[in-house]
Order: sequence, then structure tokens, then C-alpha cells
Amino acid sequence: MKRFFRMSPSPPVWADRFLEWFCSPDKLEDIQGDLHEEFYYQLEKKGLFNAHLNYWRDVLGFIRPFAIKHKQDRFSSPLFSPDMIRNYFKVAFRNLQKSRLYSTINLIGLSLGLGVAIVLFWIVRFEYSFDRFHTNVDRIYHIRSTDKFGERQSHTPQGVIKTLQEHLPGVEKAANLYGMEATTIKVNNQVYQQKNTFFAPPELLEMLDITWLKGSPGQSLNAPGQVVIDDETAQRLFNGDAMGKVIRYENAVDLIVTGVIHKMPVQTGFPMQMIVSRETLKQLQPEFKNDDYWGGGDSMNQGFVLLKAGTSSEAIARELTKLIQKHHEESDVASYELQPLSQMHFDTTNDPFNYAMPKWTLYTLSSIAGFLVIIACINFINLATVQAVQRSREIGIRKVLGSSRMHIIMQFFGETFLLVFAALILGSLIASQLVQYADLLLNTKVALAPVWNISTLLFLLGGGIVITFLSGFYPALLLSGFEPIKVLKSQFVIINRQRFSLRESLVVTQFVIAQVLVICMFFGIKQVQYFYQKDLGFDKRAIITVRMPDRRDGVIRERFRHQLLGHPEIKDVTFGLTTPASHRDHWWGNVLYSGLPNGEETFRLQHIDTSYFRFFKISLAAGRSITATDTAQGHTSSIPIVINEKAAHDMGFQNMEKVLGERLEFWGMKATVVGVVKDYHSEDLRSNLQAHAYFYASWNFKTASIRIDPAQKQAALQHIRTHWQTLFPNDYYEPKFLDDDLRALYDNERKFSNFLILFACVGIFIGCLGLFGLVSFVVTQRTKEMGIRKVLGATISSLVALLSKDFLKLVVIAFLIASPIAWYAMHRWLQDFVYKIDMDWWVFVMAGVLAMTIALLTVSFQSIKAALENPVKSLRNE
Amino acid sequence: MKRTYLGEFEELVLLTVALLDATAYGVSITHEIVEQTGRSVRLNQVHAALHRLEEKGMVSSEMGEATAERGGRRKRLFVVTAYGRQTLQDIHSVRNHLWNLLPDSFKPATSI
Repeated sequence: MKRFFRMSPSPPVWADRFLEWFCSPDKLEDIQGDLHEEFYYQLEKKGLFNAHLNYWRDVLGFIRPFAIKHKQDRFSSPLFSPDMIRNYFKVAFRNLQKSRLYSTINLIGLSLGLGVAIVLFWIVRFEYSFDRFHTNVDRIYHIRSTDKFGERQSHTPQGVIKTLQEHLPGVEKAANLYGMEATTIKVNNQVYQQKNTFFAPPELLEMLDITWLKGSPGQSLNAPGQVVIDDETAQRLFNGDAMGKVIRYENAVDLIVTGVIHKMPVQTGFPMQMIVSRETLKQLQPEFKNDDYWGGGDSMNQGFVLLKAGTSSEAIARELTKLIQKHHEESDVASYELQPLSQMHFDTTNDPFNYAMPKWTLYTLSSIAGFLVIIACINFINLATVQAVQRSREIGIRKVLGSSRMHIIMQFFGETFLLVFAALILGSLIASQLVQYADLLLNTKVALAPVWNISTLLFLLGGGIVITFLSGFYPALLLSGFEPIKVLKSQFVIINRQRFSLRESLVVTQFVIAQVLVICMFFGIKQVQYFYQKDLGFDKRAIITVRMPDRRDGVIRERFRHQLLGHPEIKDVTFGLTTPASHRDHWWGNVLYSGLPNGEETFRLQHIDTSYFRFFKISLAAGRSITATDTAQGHTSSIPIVINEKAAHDMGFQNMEKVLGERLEFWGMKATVVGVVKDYHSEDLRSNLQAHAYFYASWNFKTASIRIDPAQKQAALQHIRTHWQTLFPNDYYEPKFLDDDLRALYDNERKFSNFLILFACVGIFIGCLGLFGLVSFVVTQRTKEMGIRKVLGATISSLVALLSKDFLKLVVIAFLIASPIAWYAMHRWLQDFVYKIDMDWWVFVMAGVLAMTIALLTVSFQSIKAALENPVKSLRNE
Repeated sequence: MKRTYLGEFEELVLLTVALLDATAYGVSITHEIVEQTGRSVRLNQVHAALHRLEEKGMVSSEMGEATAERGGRRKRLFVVTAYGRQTLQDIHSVRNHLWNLLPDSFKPATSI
């Protein structure tokens, strides 16, 4: 009572309570006593505050093993004592050792499955990380549009950017970025090829997270003739010391290095190595000078916008779409939209500066990874259950000695985890080797990015737990459920009363997955072969192409042609904007003609030399080609053009002769049709035939095509190189084979089928491993039966058939299930292509036979071994 | 049988327990060490050392009288066991032996 009023200082209550909470009861009295005594001592010497502080410090100091409360460990179950835990591991290890075959099968299967799964995890994570490192990624948008013909476009005219900057509230920054695929540069009289050259205004580099080593966007990119390079390029060109040095660009203009940036990360849509100021582009290409122009377009001239926080991207896009009305004379865009920067990487309708990765590929990858792991887990379950008989005694004894069901379940999970853990380590090793080849299998650059980091470890840990659970759950449940009396009296047999056991359905599942992969693999390969072999409508053999550095200079071009034709190894030379099929440089024109639907349509325009059709062996359907007299005409009221059959059809003609002499209009020019050529595939086979118009335009011959004698390839290449280098000493020489270029169009598909091959092989292999294990188990179980049959006169082949029949039945059932699934998957895949293979039934049969053969080989290996065994051996001991 | 080793701090605590002779408990030992050696020692360290010493059999303890300033809680009083005493003496003689083996230059000067 008295104390109540005195309020004498006492030790902090909360610290005391805390101490009482954690301190073990037998220690509490003297520790707390000492603490209190010490508190009053400190109080007297150093005052209340310090005493409090000291008290807390001391209490916290007592959080030590000797003072902490232990939970009743004196009476805990002996099954969780350290000795028993050690015993569990020992038993697990011995079991794994004893059934070496099964352990190896499980380990190999799981490691392979996991190895592939880890690589796929890396790829998927990498592809999803594109451009997410920018601080403002949520506010940066890529400007997309749809033209009035419904085509998606990625180019953005500079007028749109200016409007965004100046007239639309909510916009913080907007900028164009113009990308070049490869350019020629000259440093100290040395010619280099520079990939990833971009033209950008300062605003663009201010939007993105770029590490500036020297200079800044404002100083380094605001005037003509300025260039910024990354540190790697600086090292390559100038040994590091780049500031103030001069780079001659395309033999046209001198650029001064005004800044150096850190190399862009791999996972960016802006792989900028050399950035030239936008002002320079305006000088090089005068069409960019007019900042208010809303028309024209080059898909490499893209637009990006940084919105202020809280601004809706839809609203800005709506505003832009509304503004098109004001510029409808220039622009053929129907609507604008803003695409979040983080989504740009997945958009395959975009002309990307890096590469694009469609999301469905990533989904396919993830599910294949999942399936491979499931196949491996199924092996695990199957092999664990077949071993159940052998382990039943051990479990019986454990139970009799007092293990609860929970203990046995835990023990089996422990064993599973041991194996999964080993598989994780092996799988990681496989993965870190495999990831280097990822770009051969898929269009990815994951190998250039770091793969080992915290999220990988979390993935491994999480994956390990899930796999342990998936594969350990059923065996643990099954084995722990044995009744000890029965198993110890040897009455234990696993009887299968169901027509279809769990084990059988698991094997079927495995083979369904594997066979789906095999069938898809065959169709993938077939489609890619089709791409390569399909007759494109022109002769693509033995053609070398080189990019003409000076596309406007007719004199030097003719000199080049004559010099080349002087060699017998060179058969023919022609010039044009591109070859008949090309990946880049598609020029389009909006053609006006009364017979076209709505009176207009977009034609692809091809600038050709007079020898173009002859060179590529494209035959005429009617009329004539462009001749020398046409080119000599100069400015006339109407230029002579050739169109293709598709264009003639679109214009409303069935008879090709009738089109001749028709007049149409494009680019403000009047044209007369003088000839019609047969259709050929000018784009990849994913797309339809395009309507074409061909005309002579010697100012735009970017490509020289040279047909050589295939038997004299080396000599021909040598001649081309020599002449080219004397005529164009300032330009980088890079000859290409047209065949290779055409193949490159299908890189994605080729790589997709590559990875299907890998996964189908891994899938079948893991599946067969499991089959192998199962058969070997059945064989050991039925040794005696085999012996008796043999003694009674069974032939070896009948024994092999007896053993193999059941398993092959499962593979056949799996095939029947797999076929429709694979058919559906491939049907969906092939829908992307206009020109595609037929889904022939024999491909299914071939895949089925292949899977069956592999399975049969696996099974017969074991069954033949069993059938050949001397019956005396198996029957001798009882 | 392995020989039980004493840590440096344990040795210090054990000596202090011997020194305090029957009045050795947590606080008194802590204060004594602070006073005699000048090193800053905390209660929990002393308790931990006492715990270890008791486990090793160097000290034994029993609960003593309750005092007011401890809120009526009893003290745990420590005494050195015969084994502890033996250990201290062993340590001491080993040290002495080694000191005697040292060359003269190392020893403190006893005469000029």
C-alpha cells in the first residue's frame, strides 16, 4: 500500500516480463534476483536512466542457451532424438545404396528433368525481365498504331512526338528513336561495321536508366555531329579513350564523340551501342526535318513517351487518335495506342530493335519444364512402390518397435529429399552447362545475363520441396500403411484387383507426355523443312548479295557490274532495292485505282533494274519487263510499271493481258502497267502473297545480287571482294548468300523445332528409364516363373513376348491418347502460317512406331536377359 | 578421460569464487571482477561462466538467503569444489613452472 504512493523506482516491468517469458524456471529466481540487485546498485551509482538501460541490456544478454526455457525435452520421444535422426539418414543412405539401380534411374531422370527445368526457368525469368530495370518503367509507353487497312504498325512520325510534347497535358517527355541494323564507320582510316546504331534526341536518354560514364543527354546529344558510344565500343574503336575523337559515319558525315555510356544490359529493347544525335539524322535524311509531319514512316523510327504519374495511357491514346483528323491528309493511321514498355518485348507485330519473344513460347516452355519434372516424379513413384515389397519387413519391424505412421512417412520423405537434393545439385550442373547453348535452341540471349542469384536459389529450394512432396507423397502413404502383423508373417502381397493400376496409369501418363513431344517434334521439323524447300517462285540458288554503299551513283554501279561480268565465274549481276524476298527494306505505297476495293490498297513497291526478272528467273504472265528505253525516258507524265498477278487480281482482272495499259497512281506519281509477272513469295511463308508494283528507280538500288558459278565459289567471292574494295574503299564489305538470308527468316521456327527435339529426347529418355526400372523389377519378381516355364519348354521368344507385352500395351494406349492432343497443339501452331504442311497421318504413325521401338528396346534388354538365364540358377534355392 | 580445460574468463571467475569464499553469487562476483581487474564484465557473462563451471564440476551451488533488495528472491551461492581447487592449483603450478624457465631478462627486476 505504501509503495503505491511512494513510486520508488523499480526495474522496467516489460523487461522483467520478457525475462520471465523466456527464462527457464529453475534459473529465473537467481538471475532475476541478481538483475534486481544490480539495478538498485546502478540506480544509486549512475541514475535511473542508465539503470534502466543497463537492465534491458542485461536481460537481452541472458538470451543464451543455458538460460532459455526448453520445452520438456526431458520426456520427448526417442524417435526424434539426435541418435535416431542420424539413424534415419543412415538407413536412407543404405537403402539408396542397396537398390542402386533404382536410385541411379531416379537420380538420372530427376537430374535431367531438373536440369532442363532450371534452364527454362532462367530463360523465362530472363525474358520477363526485359526493360524492367528502368526506374520509370511503369510510366514509359511505346507508341503503336493501326493503319486504315487494319495493319499494326510500330513507326511513329515526328509530328506525333511534337504534339505529345507540346500540346498534351500529362506527358512528361516524348521522343523518337531511330535504329539502324548495321552501319559502316571509319575511325583513323580503319573501316568497321557498327551494329546497333541509333539516332535519338536527349529526351529519350533522359527517360531511360542509362549510366553515363562521360557526358550527359543534354550536352552530348543536342547538336548535329554528336555521338555517344558505350564503353565496350569505346574500347573496341579507341582503346578506351574516346572523348573528342572523330568517327566517320557511312562515309557521309563526321561525328565527334561527346559522351560514353555504360554498356546496356542484355535484357533491353534498346541495345544501343552508338547513339547519334537526332539533329544529325535531320541532316542526313531531310524528310525528318519537318517536325510537324504526321505522315510517312519507317518502322525503325519508333516513338516513346513518358507520362506524368497518374496520367492514364488510354486517355493520351484517345487524344492522339482524335488528332489524326487534323492530319488526315498526311497520315493513314486509324488509331493510336500506348503499349507499356514492359510489354514491348512480347509483341511480335513490332519491328524490334532487339528480338521479340511471344508469350505463348514462354508458356510452352514453362509447361514443358513442368511436364519433364512430372515424368521424372512418376518414375520415382513407380519405382518406390515396386520396392515396397522388399521394404515391407523393415517397416513392419519399425512399427513393432514403436514408430508411428507419421514417423515412417517422415522417414520416407527424408529419403526422397536426399535423392531430390542430389538431383538438384546434378541438375544445376547440367543446367549451367546447357544454358550456354540456349540461344541455339531458342531465340534468347539468356547466356549473356547472370543466371545464379537469389531467385534461382529460391526456385531450387521451392522446386526441391514441391518435387519431394509430389514424388514422396504416395509412396510414403502406401508404405506407412502396412499392417505390421501381416508383413512380418510374410502374408504380404500387393494384389491388384483393379483392371488398371495406378502404376500403369502413371506409365501411360509419362508416355502420353513424351509422345506428344515426339509428334510435335516431327511436325516442327517437317514445317521447317517445308520452309526451306518450298519453291518460292524465283531462283535463289548460288546468289551472293552485297549492300551497295552509294545507292544513287549509277556510274560507279555500272562500273562494278562490268568489272564483275568480266570474270567467267560470275554469271549475272542485277540491282534492286532488295532481292525478291527480304527481311528489311519493305517499301510500301498507297495505290489509287478505281477497280480496287475502296479505290485504294497498299502495294509493296520494288525498285528494280532492267535485268531483275531475268536474273531471278521470274517469268512474265503478260506484257513485258522494264526495258532500257523506259529508263531513258526521263520525266514523263506516266512511269511504266510492272505488277504481279496478285495486284492484277486485286485490281479486278482475271485476264492478265487486259491489265496492260491500265493507269494507276501512287506517291503522287502516275503509272502505266506494262507487264504482269507471276506471283512469288516476297515475304516469309507466314504471310500471304503481297500485291506488288515494280518500277525502275536507279536512285534506290540498295542491293547488288550476283549469280555465281557454284563450282567456282571461292574464285567468284575473291573477285567480288577485290572489285568491291577498290570501288568502295570506305565501306565495310559483307557478302551474304541469299540462301542463308532466306533461312534466317525462319530462325524462330528452326529454333523452336530444335528445342522440341531436345525435349522430346529428354522426355522419351526419362520415360524409358522408368520403364527399364519397372521391367527389371518385374523380371526379378518373376524369375522363378521364368525358370519353371523354361524347364517346361517355353522358348526364349515366347518368354520375351510374355514380359514385354504388358508394357507395350501401355505404350500403345499412351499413343492413342497422345495423338489427338498433339494434333490439336500442332493445329494451333500451324495456324500462324499461311503456307504450311499437311498434318499427314503417317507422321503420327512414324512417331508412334519410334516411341514403340525405343520402349521395346528398353523392355527387351531386360526381358531377354531374364529369358536367357539358366533356370537352374533361379530354381536352385528355395 | 579428457582433461577439462578452463577458458581464461572461466579461470578468472573460478578464482573470484574462491576469493569471495561463501559469499560468491552473480552480482558479487561481477563487482569483484570489475573492481579487481578493471575489465568491464556483464552479469550474463558471469552467469554463463558459472553455468559452465558447474557443468564441469569446478563449482557447486546452493540457494542462499533472501534479501529485500532482491524483491525477496534468494541468491545462488557458489563454492569451489575440490576438483575446482585442484584445477586452479594445477594451472598455477604450470604457470609458475613456466615462469621459472623463462630467461632472466624477461623477469621483473628484483634488485638493481
